[in-house]
Amino acid sequence: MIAAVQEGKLVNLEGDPDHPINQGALCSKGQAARGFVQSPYRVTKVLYRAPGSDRWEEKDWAWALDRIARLIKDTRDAEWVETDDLGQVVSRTESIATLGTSVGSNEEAYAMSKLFRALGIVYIEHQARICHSSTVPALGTSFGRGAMTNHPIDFRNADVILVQGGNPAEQHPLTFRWILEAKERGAKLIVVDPRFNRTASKADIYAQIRPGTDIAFMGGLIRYILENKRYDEFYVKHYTNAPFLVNPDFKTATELDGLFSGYDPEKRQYDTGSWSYQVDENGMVKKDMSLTDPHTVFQLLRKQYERYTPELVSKITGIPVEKLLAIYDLYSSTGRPDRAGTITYAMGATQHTYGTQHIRSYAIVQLLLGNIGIPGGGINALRGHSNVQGSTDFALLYHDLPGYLGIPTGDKPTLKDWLESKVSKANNAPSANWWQNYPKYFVSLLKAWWPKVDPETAYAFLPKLSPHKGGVPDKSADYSHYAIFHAILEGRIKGLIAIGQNPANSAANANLARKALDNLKWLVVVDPMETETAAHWKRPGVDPKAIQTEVFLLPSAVWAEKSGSITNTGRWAQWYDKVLDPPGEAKDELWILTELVQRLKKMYAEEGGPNKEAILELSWWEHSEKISEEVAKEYNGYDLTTGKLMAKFADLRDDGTTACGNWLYCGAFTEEGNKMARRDPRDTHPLGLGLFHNWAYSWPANRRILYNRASTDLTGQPRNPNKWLVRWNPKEEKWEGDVPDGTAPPEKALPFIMLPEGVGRLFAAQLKDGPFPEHYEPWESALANLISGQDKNPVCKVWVSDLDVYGSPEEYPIVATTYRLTEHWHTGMMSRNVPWLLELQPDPFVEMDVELAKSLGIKNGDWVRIKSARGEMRAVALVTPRILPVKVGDKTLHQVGIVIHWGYQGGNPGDSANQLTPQALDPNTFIQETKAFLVRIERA
Amino acid sequence: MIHVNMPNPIGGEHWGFWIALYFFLAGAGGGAYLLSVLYASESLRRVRQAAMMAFLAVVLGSGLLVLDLGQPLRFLNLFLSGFYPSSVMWTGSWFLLLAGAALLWVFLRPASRAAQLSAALLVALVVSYTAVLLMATAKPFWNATPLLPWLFLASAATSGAALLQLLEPNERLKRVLVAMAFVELGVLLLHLLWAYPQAAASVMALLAGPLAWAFWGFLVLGWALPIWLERRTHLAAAVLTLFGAFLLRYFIVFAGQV
Amino acid sequence: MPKPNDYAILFDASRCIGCKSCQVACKQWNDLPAEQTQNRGSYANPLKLSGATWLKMNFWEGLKPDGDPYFDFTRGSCMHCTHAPCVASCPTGAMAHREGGVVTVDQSACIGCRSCVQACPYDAVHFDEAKGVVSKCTLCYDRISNGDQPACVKACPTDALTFGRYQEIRAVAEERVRVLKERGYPRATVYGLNELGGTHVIYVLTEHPSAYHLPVALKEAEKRAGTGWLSAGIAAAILGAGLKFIVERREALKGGEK
Repeated sequence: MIAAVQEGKLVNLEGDPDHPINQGALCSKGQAARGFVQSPYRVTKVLYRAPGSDRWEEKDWAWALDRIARLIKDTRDAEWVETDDLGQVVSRTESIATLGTSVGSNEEAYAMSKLFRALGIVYIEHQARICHSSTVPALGTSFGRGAMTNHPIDFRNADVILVQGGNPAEQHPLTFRWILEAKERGAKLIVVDPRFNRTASKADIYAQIRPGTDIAFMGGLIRYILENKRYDEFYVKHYTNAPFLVNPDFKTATELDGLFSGYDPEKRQYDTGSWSYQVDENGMVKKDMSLTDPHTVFQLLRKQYERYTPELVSKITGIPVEKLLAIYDLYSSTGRPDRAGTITYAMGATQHTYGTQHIRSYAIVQLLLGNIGIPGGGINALRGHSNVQGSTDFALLYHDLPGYLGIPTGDKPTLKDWLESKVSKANNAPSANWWQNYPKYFVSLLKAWWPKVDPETAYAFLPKLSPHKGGVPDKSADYSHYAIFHAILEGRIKGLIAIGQNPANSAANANLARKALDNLKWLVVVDPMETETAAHWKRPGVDPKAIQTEVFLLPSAVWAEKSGSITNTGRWAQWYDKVLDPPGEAKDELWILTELVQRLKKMYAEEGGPNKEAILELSWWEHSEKISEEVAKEYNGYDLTTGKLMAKFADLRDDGTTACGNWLYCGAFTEEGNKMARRDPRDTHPLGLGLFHNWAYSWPANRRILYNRASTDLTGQPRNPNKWLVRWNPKEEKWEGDVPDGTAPPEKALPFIMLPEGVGRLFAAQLKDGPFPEHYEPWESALANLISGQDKNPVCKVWVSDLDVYGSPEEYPIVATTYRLTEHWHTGMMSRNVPWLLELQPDPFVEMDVELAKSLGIKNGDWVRIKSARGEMRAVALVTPRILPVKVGDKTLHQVGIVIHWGYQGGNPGDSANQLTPQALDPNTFIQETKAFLVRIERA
Repeated sequence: MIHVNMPNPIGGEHWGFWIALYFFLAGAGGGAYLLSVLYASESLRRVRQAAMMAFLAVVLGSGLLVLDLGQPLRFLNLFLSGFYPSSVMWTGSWFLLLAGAALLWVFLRPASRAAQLSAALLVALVVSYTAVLLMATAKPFWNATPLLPWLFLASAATSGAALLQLLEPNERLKRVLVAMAFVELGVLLLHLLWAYPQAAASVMALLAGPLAWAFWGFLVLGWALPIWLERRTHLAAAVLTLFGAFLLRYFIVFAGQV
Repeated sequence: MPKPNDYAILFDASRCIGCKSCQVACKQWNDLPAEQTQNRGSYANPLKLSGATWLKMNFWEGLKPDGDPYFDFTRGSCMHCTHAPCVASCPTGAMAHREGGVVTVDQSACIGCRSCVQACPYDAVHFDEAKGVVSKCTLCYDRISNGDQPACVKACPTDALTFGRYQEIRAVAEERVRVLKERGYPRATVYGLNELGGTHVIYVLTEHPSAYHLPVALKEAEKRAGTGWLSAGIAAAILGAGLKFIVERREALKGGEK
C-alpha cells in the first residue's frame, strides 16, 4: 500500500500499483485500512480495571508495566515446576499463558516467542491453532514443509482449480484475481461448498456438499484416479512412496471397518507400530517398482479407497453421481505432465475433527496426479491473518520453536539427547534428508537467544514439554488453546497475556472462554481496541462485582505506526515502513516487550528466582528507531567468528560459532541489505511464470515454488518444457529458473529434501488418526457414517464438561456451518470498528434455504434465534435459493451458514457464532470443528 | 430472483412538505385569479382582489421555495447564471418572477386589459409548470402519463373557486367548482390506472400504503364531503375543498418519490 | 454519442465478485462518511445511493433453469450520460458536462433545488444535508485529470473495472461480449451504448439489463419536458374554453328561460 501523510495525519491510503500480487488493487478491508488506523474506537491511554470494579481507570505506562512485570514474576515463581510427575527436569511455569498474535510483525512475533520461552512459559498459542494448524502437519508429513507450496500469482498457470473448503473470492480477493486470470487463459474452476457463495458465482462446476463429508468426496476422487489410471505413473513411481513396502501387519480401514491396525479403544489411540515400512539390513526401505506387491503403499491405497464408490460418496455428500463424475473427470485430467491442477482451501478444510486428514487427502491426490512442484499446481493453503504465516514460522505455538524446530520434551534431559532424537536418518537413496542439519539450526538458535552461554547450558534454560503436573481430567502434554481455557477454568492458570488476539469471541464455545476469563487473577490485553476479551468483566449478563480479574488494556500501535516485516500466505516476507506516530499514548509491541524485559531483568537480578539465568542471560535489544531491523538481523543470523550477517542457512554450523533466530529466514537480512524490503516488480523467470525473486524475500532461501525439482525428470530436465520451472544445465553444472529445492545435482538428491524418504508420502505414519485419510462423520452429525461402522474419528479429542455439551439430531435437526464475509475481520474488532466496513455488513446473519424458512414461518430479513447445545445467538435470516436441502434416503437435511463476526463490543454489538460451536478437536493439532455442528432455529 | 430493495421511507423525500405547500398555494391563488379574469373581469374590484391573493400566493410560495433550497442565499443564481431553457425549474422561476410583477401591475392598474391578460398567461404558466416539472423527472409515477397538467389545472380551478367562495359565494363559482371537481377526479383516477404498470409501488402506497390517509382523506373529506355540504354551508365546503386540494398536491408529490 | 476520446469506465459483471472494494475506495478517496445501515435480508448495503454513498453493489440471486443457483453482482452509480437529464434539468448550470464527457456538479454554484435528483433514472444524484448541495460520483475527475485512474477502477481486485478512452473501452466491451457468448452466455450484452445519448460508464452484462432492473428505452429530460408543456398548453386551452363555454351556455339558457 501507499500512504499519503500530511502533517502527521494519514490522508490517503491505497494500493501500490508496483506490487506484483495486487497491482494497486485492494480488497474492501484493504481499501478501508485508513478507517482502521483512524477508527474512533482506538484506545489511546493505558486502561486498568481493578478487581471487582465496573469501570476502567486511566494509568500511565510506568505504573502499568511495573505492576505487570511484578505479576509475571510472582505468578511464575510461586508455582514454578522444576520437575514433572515423572521426575523429569522441565523448568517451566504452568500458571501463565500467552495468546497472540497473528497480526503483528515477524519481529514482534520473534521477540514474543523468545521472551515467553525464556520465562519458562509453555502455554503459548496464537490464532494458527484454531485456524490453519491442521495444515502444518498435513502438508509437513506429506511433503516436508507445512506451508502453501506455490503462491498467489501462480494460480494463473493452472489448468484446473479445485476450491474446496475455502472461499477465496470472499477472503482473498487479490488471490482470486489470479484465479480469474487463469480462467481467462482457459482454466476451469471447480467449487465444492455447502453454499453457493461469491467464489461459486464464477465456478465452471459447482457442487453443494454436506458439511463434514469432505474426505468422502476426496476418497471418491482418489479411487477414480486409481481405477481410471489417471495418475502420473512416472511421478508416482519415482517421487512418492507408492512403491515402498509396508509392514504386513498393517491393515487399512477397509479391512477393519473404519479403523486402522493398532487401535486401543480404552486409551482412544493407536499403537502405530504396524504403520511402518519394511526395511533392509541397512535401514533402507524395500520397494517394488512395479507397484503390484499387495504390501506396496500403492496397493494399500487402492484397498483403502475401494469402498469410496461414486454411488456411496453421492449418498454421503449429497452430490449427484453425474456431478461427482464430471468433477472427478475434469480434475484428474491434470494427471499429465502438460496439465497443472491446483487445490486451494482455508477454514472449510481445516476446522474439523478430521481436518489434518482432509488436507492429507488433497496431498494424496496431488501426488498421484504429479501436481506438486509444478507451476499452476501445488496445494495452496490460503492463510488468513496478515502475519499468521510469520507467527507460525516464529513459533507462537506451544509445541514449536522458530523454524519448526519443535520444543524439547522432558524425556530429553541433555542437548545431545534432544539433537539425536531430531536428526533424521535417510531411509531411501538418494535422499537429501535435510533435517540431518537440525543441530546446526537448533544450536544457532540457542546462541542467538543466550549468546554468552554455551549451548548445553542454554538448552537447560528452555522449558520442556511433558504431561501436565496435576491437570485433571486430561493430563496429556496438551498446552493448546482449549487446554488453556480449561486450565483457567480449573484455576491452574492464573494470568493470561493476550496480544492481538480476542479469545472471548474467536474460538469454539465462546461462552466457556468468557466464563474462564472471569476466573483469571490477572489479564493483560495488548490491542488497539477494547476487545471482548479486555471487556469480559462488563459483558451483558454478568455482575462486575463478582469478577475479580485484574485487567490491563495496553493500547498498541497498528502496522502503519511501526516498521517491520510480515509474511504472506505465499511465504513472502515483506518489509513495511512506519509512516505515522501512534495516537495518544499507544505504543508498538516491541517497545512494550522491551520495557517489560528491562524490568524483569532488574527484578531477577535483585531478587533472584527459579531458572533466573534464562532471563538474565537472554539477549535483548535497546530502544531505538531501528529496533525492528536489529531484531530482523538477529533472526537472520550472524557468523560469530566474523561478526557478519549470515548469507544463507546452508552456512550455519552446529559448533556454536553461528547464531540464528530462525533458520528459514536466514538470508532475509544479509550484508547486502534487507532483502525483505526489495521492490523490484519484474518477473524474473524467462517464461514469465510470475516469479518475482527480487521482490521481498520468500522462505526458504527465496524459493518461490516448493518442491520444484519434482517438475523435472531424474536427469533434471523439465517434464513440461513449455512451462518449465527449473532445469539442470549440465554444461554449467547449475540449476536455472526458480531457486531449486535442493541445490544438489539431479542424481544426488530426490525432490522432497525435507523428508528422510526424499519422496512425497502417500502413506504418512506420523499422524495420530491414520496413515491414510478415512471418512468419519463430524462429532455432531445428523447422520450415521455410511462408509464404515466407525461413526466418528476414533482418536479425536473431545472436551466434555458442564460447559462442553453436545446435542443430538433429534433436538437439533439442522446442520450448521460457519463462515466469514469479505467485509469483516474474524471477531469484528478490526472491521466493526471501522465505519466504512460496518456500513457494508451491519448485522450478523444466517443463510438458510427457502423450504426451511417456510417451514419455520421465517421471512427474509426476520430476526431469528439459533440454538445449539452450548448456547444461542440472534441473527437476521437471509432466505436464499443458493442453499438447497439435501435428500439422504428418505430424510431431508437442511443446512444453514452462520456468519461469525459479531461480539458484545465495538460497532453494532451482537452475538458471536462461537457461542454455538463445539470443542471437538482434531487429534493431531487440536483444532476445533467449527464447520459442522447441529442447531435448531426459531423466529426471535 | 431475489433482490432486496427498500422503497424510499416516507420522510426521506428530496421534495417534501414545503414543495407540496407551495404547489397548493400557487394552485389556489393562481386559480382564483384565473377564474376572476375568466368570469368576473367586469368587476375591477374582484379582479384586484384576486390579483392580490395570487400575488401573495406567489410571494409566499416563492419564499417557501427559496427557504427549501439547500443553499437559500444562492437563489439569485436562478436568474444570473445564464439561460437554461431545458430546465423546467429555470423557466418556472422566471414565470414566478414575471407573474409576480404582472400581478402587481394588475393590482395597480386593474382596468388595463393588457395587464390582466399578461398576468393571466403568466399565472397559467405558473400553475401548470409545476406539473411539467414533475413530468420531466425520472419518477415513473410522475412521467408515465401526460395527465398531471390536467390534474393541476383542474385542481387549481377547484381550489381557486373555493378561495373565491370564501370571500363572495355565488352560484356561478359553485357550478365551476363542481364541474372541475369531477374533471379533477376523473383525471386522477385515469392517471392512477395508466401509471400503475410502471409505478405500482407508488399507486399501492396511495391506495393501501403509507400515503393512503392522504389519498382517502382527499377523496372523502376534500372531494365528496364538500360537494354534499355545498348546499348547506359554503364556508365549510370551501374550507374542506382547500384542505383537499392541499392533500392532493401532498400525495402526488410524495407518491412520486416512494 | 460520446466522443471517441472521451473518458469511459467499463464495468464487466462477468468478472465482478461483489466484494465492494470499489464502494469503499470511493468513500476513502472522497472522504465520505459511513451510513447507519441494517441488514434487511441482503448482502447489499447501503441499499440506496445517497449524498454519502456514490457507488454501491447490487446483489441478485436465484436458480437457473438447470437447477444450479446463480449469484450476480452489478454496479450502481452515476452513468455520466451524454444527454444527462440532471444537466438538462439544472436551473443554474451548476450540474454540467466537463471535459471528456464527465458530468459533475459545481458545489459552489449549486443552489440545492434537487431537480437533478429527481431527474436521474439511475437514482445516482442525491442531496447532501450537511453541505446543502447535491453530490454524486465525479468519475474521480480530480484523479483522472492528473493521469491517474478513478479510485474504484484502481481498487477492483478482479479487473471488473477498467478505465480509458471511450473508443477503446467500447471495443473491449464488445469483444468481451463476443467471448462471453462463446463461453455459454447467449444473452450477454453491452449496456449503455444507446441510453440517453450513450453513457460514459458502460456495462458488460451476462443477462438482459431488465433482469437487473436497469432502465431501457429511456426518454431524455428535454423530451419529457416538451411533452409536459404540450400537454399543459392543451389542458389550459381545453379546460379554460370548456369551462367558459359550459358556464356561459348555462347562463345563456337560464337567461333564455328568464
